[in-house]
Amino acid sequence: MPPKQPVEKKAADEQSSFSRSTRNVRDFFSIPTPVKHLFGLVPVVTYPPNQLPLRAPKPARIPSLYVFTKDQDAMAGRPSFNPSCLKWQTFLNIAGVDHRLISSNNHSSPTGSLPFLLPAVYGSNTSQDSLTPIASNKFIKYATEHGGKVEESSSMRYEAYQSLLDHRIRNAWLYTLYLEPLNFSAVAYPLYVSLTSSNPLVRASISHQLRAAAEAELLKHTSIIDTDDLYSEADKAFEALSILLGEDSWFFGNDKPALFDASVFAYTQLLLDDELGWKEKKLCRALRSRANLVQHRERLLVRYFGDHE
Amino acid sequence: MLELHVWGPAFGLPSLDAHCLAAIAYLQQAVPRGKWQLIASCNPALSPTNELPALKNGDIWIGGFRNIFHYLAQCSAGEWVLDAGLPEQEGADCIAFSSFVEANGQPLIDLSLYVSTQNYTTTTRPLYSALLPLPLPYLTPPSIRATAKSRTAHLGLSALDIDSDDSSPPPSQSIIPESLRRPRNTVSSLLSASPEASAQIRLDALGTNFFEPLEKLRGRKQFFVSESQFSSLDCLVLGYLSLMLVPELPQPWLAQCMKKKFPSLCKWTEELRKTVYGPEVTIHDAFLTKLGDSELDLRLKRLRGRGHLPWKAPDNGGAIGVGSVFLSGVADGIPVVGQLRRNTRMRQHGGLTTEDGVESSSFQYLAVIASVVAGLGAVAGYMFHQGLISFGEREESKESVSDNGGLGAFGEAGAALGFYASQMDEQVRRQRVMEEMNETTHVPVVEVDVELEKQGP
Amino acid sequence: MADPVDSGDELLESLRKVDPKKVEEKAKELAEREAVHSAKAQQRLAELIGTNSTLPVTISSIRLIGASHTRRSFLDRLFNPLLSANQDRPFTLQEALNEVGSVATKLQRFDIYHPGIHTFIDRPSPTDPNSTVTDIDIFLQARERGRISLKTGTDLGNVEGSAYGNLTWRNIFGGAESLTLNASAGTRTRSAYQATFDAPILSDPDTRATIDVLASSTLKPWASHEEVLKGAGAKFSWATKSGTRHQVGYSGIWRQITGLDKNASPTIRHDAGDTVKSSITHTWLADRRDHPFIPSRGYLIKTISEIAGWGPLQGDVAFWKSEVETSGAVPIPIPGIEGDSGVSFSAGLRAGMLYPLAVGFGSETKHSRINDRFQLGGPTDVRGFKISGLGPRDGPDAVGGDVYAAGSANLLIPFPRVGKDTPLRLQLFANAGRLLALKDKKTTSESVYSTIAQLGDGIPSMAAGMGVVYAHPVARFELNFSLPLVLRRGEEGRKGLQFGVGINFL
Repeated sequence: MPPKQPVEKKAADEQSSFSRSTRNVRDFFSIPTPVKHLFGLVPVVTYPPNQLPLRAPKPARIPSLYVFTKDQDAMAGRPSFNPSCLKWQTFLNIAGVDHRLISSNNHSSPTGSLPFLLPAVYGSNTSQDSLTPIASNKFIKYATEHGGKVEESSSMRYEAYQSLLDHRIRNAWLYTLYLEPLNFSAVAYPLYVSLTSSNPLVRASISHQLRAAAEAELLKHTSIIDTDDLYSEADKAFEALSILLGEDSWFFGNDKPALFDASVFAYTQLLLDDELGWKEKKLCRALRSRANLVQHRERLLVRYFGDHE
Repeated sequence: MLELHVWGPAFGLPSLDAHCLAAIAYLQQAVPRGKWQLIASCNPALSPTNELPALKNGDIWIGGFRNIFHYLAQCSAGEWVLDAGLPEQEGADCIAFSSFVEANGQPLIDLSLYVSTQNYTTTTRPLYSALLPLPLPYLTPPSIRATAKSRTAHLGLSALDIDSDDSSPPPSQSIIPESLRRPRNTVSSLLSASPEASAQIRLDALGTNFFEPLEKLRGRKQFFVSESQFSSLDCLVLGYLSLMLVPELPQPWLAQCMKKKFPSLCKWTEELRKTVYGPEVTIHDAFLTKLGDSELDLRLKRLRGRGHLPWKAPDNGGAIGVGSVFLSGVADGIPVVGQLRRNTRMRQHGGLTTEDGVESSSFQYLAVIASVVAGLGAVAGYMFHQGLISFGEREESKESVSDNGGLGAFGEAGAALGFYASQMDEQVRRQRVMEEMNETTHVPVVEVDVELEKQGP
Repeated sequence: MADPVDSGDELLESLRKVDPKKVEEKAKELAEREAVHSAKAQQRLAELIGTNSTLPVTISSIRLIGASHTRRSFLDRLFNPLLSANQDRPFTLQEALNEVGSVATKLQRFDIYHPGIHTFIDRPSPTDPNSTVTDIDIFLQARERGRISLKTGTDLGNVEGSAYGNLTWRNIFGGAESLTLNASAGTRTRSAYQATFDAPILSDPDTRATIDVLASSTLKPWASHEEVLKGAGAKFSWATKSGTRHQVGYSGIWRQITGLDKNASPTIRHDAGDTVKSSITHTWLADRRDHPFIPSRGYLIKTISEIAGWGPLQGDVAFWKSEVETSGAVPIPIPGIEGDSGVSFSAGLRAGMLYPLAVGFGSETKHSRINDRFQLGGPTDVRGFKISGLGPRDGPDAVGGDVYAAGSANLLIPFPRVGKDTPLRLQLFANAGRLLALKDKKTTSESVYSTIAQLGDGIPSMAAGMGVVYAHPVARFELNFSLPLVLRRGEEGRKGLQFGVGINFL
């Protein structure tokens, strides 16, 4: 009986496949051949993909830098109003890494804080890698890999003076921006709170969160927030930085600005920017009395943000 | 006469706190002998900045290392200043490296002495127990440890602390609350023999990042910024380095890293430590307790050697002093009250005048009483809530995940209150049981149905 | 029963031995007698009502027994219309009984009494000078439920498990007002807390006012984020005479898109952060199906309209959103089977549209965000696709669309041997859907119209298959074998088995 043969053969096939599958536990759950064949047939028709919603950012050939900024400032490439965003924005400008700015907030960041860089999408291949954001501590590596020119000073003083910025000046900055009531309502509120939501309750909640976070950050290192100490330490820090810079154009006697200049600029630009509308100017005054730091800021502003002014 | 109040001696050093050591070194070098006294204290609340070291001159209290040396310059009309006459560049270095040492040295000490569970339980906590009168050892070390943990959270090394099964917090400070972040897995680090071993590479890197710039700065000079002048930076560095090098710990990674890679720093520390702090200091030296020595022996001992420190026996203010420290500690441990107390701290600037100090301390006293009353109420409410409603526990544990600082400290306050509760009168306890019984007779009002059902989304 | 002394106690023992039997017999006898008695009474009552159904009666009093916590004014509104003093003509006995019965059902629906409200009728004592011959008195006996109830348990849903605790405070002011506190934690809805205050208006269980406050945090793995909500709302719902239901509500919600995955798409990153939605929603529902989960006849129409952010509503987002949902079922007679065959055919259609508006009184329309756009696909709507498997996709994320339409056709067949009275059915289905984002055109209306027109381009994404349906009293369970037939690139079909649990299926 000829018709019987293929059936038997198939049964034998199945049996052998079964015995194979017992050897491998994962194969046990595998799909039987006829069903697999059926799965191979569908889908019968595949159309081109759906279009993305209008709010989705347009794909770009250059990487996107997510920072705290206003939409129109992002378009014009103006300095961000957040020191750590501004530091890295300036660094990328100095290194010559072309990028576009996207106005964003901490929620969008994988680390919980801005800035981060989203690599450019080449063509239509959106592989997993290209979607992985680059946190700011990897920017130097990214810049060198993408043709940026980065020269870092290896001075033994580097770390020490960096700690002045990261602690002394940052602490005074946190205090003067968030915890001085006048400055909070005049400077921080319009930038960090009003931009987030238009609802008064949400604004109240976010301002409270911001102030509490700043306070908690300061109380990590001391048991009392001693304002006199904060301001006098920041003043001494500016003094030390001013002595370090001396008559040079850039820090550590380099002939080109580098990351350290960007770190200093991140604070000097914001403290010297009259458009922010500081009300309690203690920290600004401390900086203004150091003429070489003021000039340093002017130099960077003209050189790297000049064409937008 | 100036009085310098510091945390008591440990490891053969005159204090177990780096800033206190720095302050001792500063006074030892700057202030003539006989013009100051050293007191081992346990009450940071005496200081206007709520921290030790604190300097007392008559009625004036000065808190914190930096404020102390500013004040010394002021009150001696520029005579007792170590940094005077430093060249411009060296002065700048002094400022910058002081910041560097504080910013990068503190986390290392935090990790080594407080975060690392083994070091903390076998060495640091027993030290505090020896120094502090009861019941402060129940309260002060855990709160110092909690602060140390929060300071080092950004390093992602919380696996050193094997008590906490929660994963390391994300490496950033942002406005996203903790509860909204995905937990990270640290099972592998917990399985390894000792967490220090698995974190060895990172710890070594941290240590090296700290020691290297210092060694380079000193170079072949005698002191850190100057060849001849002992500056405020040297005080600070000495304080930090001796606390890193000297203690003998079960997990000695920090001292090992220093000894292995930076022998010249070790040598400098050992030598200077002997000249500045004198030979091994014990608790008996600090509290001037007698060890079979006669009064004369003691006096002779004090006169011997220049390096010997001018200890004066502490006056703890008796039970009231201890009680107030204890209660303010308890109040800080209770979430809402602690937050309120912290909020009031901002207004108290580091005042240099007497009135400020008095005002703030009396204000603090009132706040303590109010907050303890509120705290007791809160704890009672919490117990009631726990007892009556079964899912209270689950909510509570959720909250503790979302708010690491606040409720973790709640446990502390609870433990401390429990300490007092165990001393409660038998009769009071019986009464409480009776009340609880009454509570159960009211229960029938509540119908409790527990059901397991399948439901759509 | 080892008795040490057996001589004198024999009698006692024998008594003891007999006792249970006797008691049993007696009880039986009693029960029988009672049953006979009540049957007789029932019969008599039935006869009485039967013969007197047209007898004119006047209700002189209604008394509710066992409702010590219920407010008098609340009950007055229910009972007063029945009292003869408020009627222009006397009831017949039949009518009176019907009216009383409907009031009893209403009382039951307030959920403040235990089930089973008993009704008694009595004649006032003839000695009362005020009573007339036609007067009757009505007694309702109810048992109030506990005023506070606590419930904990676990829920299992579609790819979600959760545990909850629920505290209800009933009949707060004696007018069936209730306050419910709800807390739950689960795998997908990571935490949710809700407080709801609900009160019937004018003693009508169908007319209700509700105020609620909520806070929740939900994982949205199909779009690589977590949504955190905090908000409050007020709702008013009522039923029309024809049995359809309306609900109008206002809600203000603070939404946070946060906790993004490492490889979240730029579209999601762009939408991360805080927004406030302040909106008014109207829902209308007409449900005339014979079974909520496996209907064999009848139809359902539901419309949802929402306006957010426009004019005085303010907020951070502004749009008009409309959704329509219809479904109908017809029984299919099978030749050879008498009466209802149990085989039925049902079809459903859903469509929705989001029309962007300007916030407040502004003129600049805002593009829609991920949390306002529609999602489509999954075992409870378009089967044969993964959850949110249809529509625009950016990398790993289903980013949602502004316009959608979906339809399905199902044939439900009873299991051959088990029969049509069990809740089990075999199902054959085919369903299709389209989910589109608005096109970039000069004006908003132009882009909405052209996108709607685009729904008809090509064959919609489609899947077909068969499976088993089980209608549990609280939800419908489905296990299907499905094959996606037509797809857009990026859309995620589900080949093979798919399990679905839900209340509302397409």
